[in-house]
Amino acid sequence: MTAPFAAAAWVASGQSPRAAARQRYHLRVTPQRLQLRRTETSGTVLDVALGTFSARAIGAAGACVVDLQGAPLCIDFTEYDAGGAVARAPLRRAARALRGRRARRAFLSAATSRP
Amino acid sequence: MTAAGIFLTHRRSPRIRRHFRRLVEESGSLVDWHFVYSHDTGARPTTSLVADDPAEVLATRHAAMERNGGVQGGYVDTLLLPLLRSLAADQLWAIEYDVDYAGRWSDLFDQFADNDADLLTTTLLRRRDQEQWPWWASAGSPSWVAEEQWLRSLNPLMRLSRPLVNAYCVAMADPAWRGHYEFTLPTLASVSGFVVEDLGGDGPFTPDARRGRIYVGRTPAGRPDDQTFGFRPVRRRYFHERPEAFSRAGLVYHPVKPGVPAWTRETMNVRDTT
Repeated sequence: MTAPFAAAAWVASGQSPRAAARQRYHLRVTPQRLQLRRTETSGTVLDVALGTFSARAIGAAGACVVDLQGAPLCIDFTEYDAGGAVARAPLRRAARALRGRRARRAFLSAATSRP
Repeated sequence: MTAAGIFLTHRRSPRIRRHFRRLVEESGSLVDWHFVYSHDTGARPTTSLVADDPAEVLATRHAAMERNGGVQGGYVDTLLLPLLRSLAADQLWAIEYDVDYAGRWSDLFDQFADNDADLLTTTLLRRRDQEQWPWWASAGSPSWVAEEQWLRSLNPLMRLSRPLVNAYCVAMADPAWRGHYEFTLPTLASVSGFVVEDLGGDGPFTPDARRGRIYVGRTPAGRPDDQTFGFRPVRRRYFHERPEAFSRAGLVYHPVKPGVPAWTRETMNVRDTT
């Protein structure tokens, strides 16, 4: 059975969108669905069945690409400072990268395993 | 709030250039305009803007556009949205060359500078308001969107928020969304909880404060005799060329075709390949 997963993530269409193109969403994986909701209003933006997409990690810590039948979405669980900047302090940056990687691993596990 | 915009034309001529210059000069600091020339039927126009590839930003729609044979007939979103996403502003306008304003452009844009709607466009109607709209036949949406929620609009002049541009590009990855972008854009915006408003007119999404203002267009009751913004009538001269031909001041007009053949469903847009 697929483990449920829920977290906030930065999402934009494309393989490697510019930082300015990203927006924050609530992302949820249920045993059947992948759902994206807006953080401001909970409005649904995407709700697709598991098994209709593939997902893989990409280079940046916390980032992965979900591919919906040829349409890539970049999903990034890394925390950023205001304006999308990476933390300057090395320790803070490392901690965020670690949390991002953990969230990514959990997401990929939930999104790509089958019931 | 900062505002930028795209002026989209599929023809180039001195008359259209003068029309663009008037738009830029009269908008002043309200909107930072960029000229975009759609030189063919594809989604990669000639422009100084640096944008991500439409085939990645809107991959599913882009593939559908290619099957359609071009952006004409409902896929201009594959051209517009990547460009809008590249603009460094909060409010993102798109205007086609055949939209005109009977007045000073700043008087129009100033009315919306403090408006926080995510989508401002024209002729926003529900399916039940216009069952005969020809593009319903090709429309499709994911199962979480009921057909009763479907909307249509007319987008030669529109404004989007940056979050809506992002959400649209993300949502359209789902191939269940099908059809004309004047269906997909307002419908996605509405069902995802964005603030959707008609720029004016007299429709179900017109705020009371703008009812009967900005333009005269189709309503649930039909096409008014004094329509200024719609499919017809076609005007042949811009406001700066013949202001007396624009019967009501302070309204936007569409279409104005300065030496350009009018759009028809048979010919779509005739492209200038020179």
